[in-house]
Amino acid sequence: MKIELTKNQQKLKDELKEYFSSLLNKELLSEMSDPQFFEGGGPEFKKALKIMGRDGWIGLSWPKEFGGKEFTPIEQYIFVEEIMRTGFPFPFLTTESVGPMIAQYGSDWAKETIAKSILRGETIFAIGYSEPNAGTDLASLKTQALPDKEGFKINGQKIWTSLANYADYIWLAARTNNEVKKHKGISMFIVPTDNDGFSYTPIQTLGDVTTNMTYYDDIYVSKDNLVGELNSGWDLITSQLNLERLALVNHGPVDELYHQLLSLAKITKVDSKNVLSDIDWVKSNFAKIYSGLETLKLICWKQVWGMENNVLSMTDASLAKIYGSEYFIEAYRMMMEIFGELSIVRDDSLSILNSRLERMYRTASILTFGGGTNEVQRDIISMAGLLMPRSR
Amino acid sequence: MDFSSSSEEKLIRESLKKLLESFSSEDYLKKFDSHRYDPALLSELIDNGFLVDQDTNKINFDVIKILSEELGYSNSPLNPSALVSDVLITLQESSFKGLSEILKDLLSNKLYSYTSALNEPLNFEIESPKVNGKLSNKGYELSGTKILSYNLDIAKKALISFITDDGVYLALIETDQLEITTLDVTSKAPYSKLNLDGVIVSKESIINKSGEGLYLLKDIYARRVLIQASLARGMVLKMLELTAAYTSEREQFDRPIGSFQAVSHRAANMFIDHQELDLNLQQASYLYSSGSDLENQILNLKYITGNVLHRTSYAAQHLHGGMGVAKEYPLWRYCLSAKEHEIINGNSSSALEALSKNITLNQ
Repeated sequence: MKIELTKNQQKLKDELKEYFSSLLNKELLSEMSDPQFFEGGGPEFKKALKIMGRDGWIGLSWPKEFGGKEFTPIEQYIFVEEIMRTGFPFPFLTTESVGPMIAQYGSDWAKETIAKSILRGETIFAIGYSEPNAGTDLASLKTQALPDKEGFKINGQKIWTSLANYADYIWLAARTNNEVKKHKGISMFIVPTDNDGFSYTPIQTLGDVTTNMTYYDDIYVSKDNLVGELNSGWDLITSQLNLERLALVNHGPVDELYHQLLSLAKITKVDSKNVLSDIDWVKSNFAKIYSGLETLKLICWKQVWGMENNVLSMTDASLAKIYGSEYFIEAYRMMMEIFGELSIVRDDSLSILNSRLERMYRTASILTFGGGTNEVQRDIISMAGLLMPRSR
Repeated sequence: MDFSSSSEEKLIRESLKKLLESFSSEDYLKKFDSHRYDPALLSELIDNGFLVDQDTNKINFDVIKILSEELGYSNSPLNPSALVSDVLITLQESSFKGLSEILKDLLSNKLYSYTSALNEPLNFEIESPKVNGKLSNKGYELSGTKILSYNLDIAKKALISFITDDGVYLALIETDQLEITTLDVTSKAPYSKLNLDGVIVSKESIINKSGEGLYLLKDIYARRVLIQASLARGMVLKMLELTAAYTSEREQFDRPIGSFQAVSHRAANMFIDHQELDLNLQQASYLYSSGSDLENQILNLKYITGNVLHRTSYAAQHLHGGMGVAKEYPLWRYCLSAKEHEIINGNSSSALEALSKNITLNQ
């Protein structure tokens, strides 16, 4: 048992901190605070992504033979932690999930054109999984890809297709066989967003994050756009979950906020004698946040250690999802209590950390239902972890 | 980073499980329901080298933690903390000259002859004793009271703490002339009260040099919390297993009650609580064994231990319905022990307050 980062892992952490502090210049930071670019897609974001591609910071999880760094899960976690601390909307799903799958299972065209372009930081994907009637039960999706000439014709509708407003492609799950069990008849496609049959309507959300409804109307794609074997898309979808586990409840962003707010509370005067952190209940809130943060960090570390050693259980993953997402809600609440009314003020002169805290609070609720709702995660724990009967 | 158990640890755990099997049947445990102390078990553990390594004559704290987990799991009527962790390890670490005699006595007589008396009424920080020592010609004259001293009524010597003008001191004193009153506590653990008014502590019985007392007490507190969390880990795991098994069997409305999400989700929350305790215990244990500064982790562990013991024992009772409180079913003993360990050596709220002061300290 050895529960700490190795010297090399700590060195990587320090290296990343230094790199990101030089990458995030004034222009980029200004763009990141603009609601229309919260999810990326602005000119400074695109510029920064290309620089990261040039400097070899894209493709961390990719095998070396495909031009990646082949980082271990713990190293990947550290990367995700450090970049999430900065608030930069790094397109993990494109670079670390879709990218390596295309590099490994894509056609020659996809490998040569798309995968390499992702590595250069020039191509962004949006994920087309959920549908209005296929959310937690994703395998019920109905978007169809029917054989047509030498390729496929795609028709259907997706929801919560984040980044589709500026993505170059959709990583699309479509039904290619209706005759088999629902998990067995799904295939994955690369769908260009500049196709005439593609359209989207934005969905504005509580956290000022824009996501999209996307429509696929008689879109023809060639066989080259199929990734992996026909009808084996479910395996690709589930293999992507590993990455989600690294990013979804990563402790980095809350840890960053905690330290920033603690420093601020120690110098923020509430009267002539006292600062904010002198107040008893403020101290108590900080201690509760600290306690949860320690647990979350350990849960995440154990999870990546499990991934690295091939001992990650379903229950560990579900536990991390539940603990992290529910902790975020509580932690942001307690942080906002500490700064009181100022937490919800957006005015530049009064806002706390440029309203980042308040914004994070508004986006946090997505995590308790997104990525597999917490009720289903608790079902998994009771069945797989406690061997209790299946819930009905 | 490594979260795995070593093969040595697994071996120790297996041997302990095997040994404890014959000391934890329902019929056997019933014998201790009015006084939860099992001297035969202590003797067996000493014989098998689980308390003191018989080759090196040293106490291995990692083994004591595994032992505590298994004692918690089996709900055995024995807490090694006062004897082994408070007295023996403290003496081992302070290079006390009389340690070899004490170990000899322990290994030959196999009795709980040495204990500690550190807890005080309404004092939530054992590092800051309120028992006062005034310097006199004969030594220190004490005033004050200690409570919840484990097996003090049968011990020959007790490690006590007191505050003086010169700081905190620890002394190992004879118990035969002391005013000891046995206490009837809900868990029926063998606790006593000690009146120290007028007791003279000779300078020879003091085990620490001036200025080192606080350091030793902080170390004792850290080990107490680690042992308490280990006991709790075992207890919580057993309560979780009992609950999962019971709710999978018990049927209402023609189906196992565990198939109702309201039930299974509450059990899943117990699972999450167990993991929270487990991971923080592992982290604090690692930091302790590597000699790192762990004051905040220990306070956090105490905070979590109390919370988890409270939540899981109550959830286990609730999910069992009437069986959870019936004395014909084993859960009730776990619930009483859980409350005992939630509430002694400080508690979740006091630990949180101390943690909050450390965190917000303006340095």
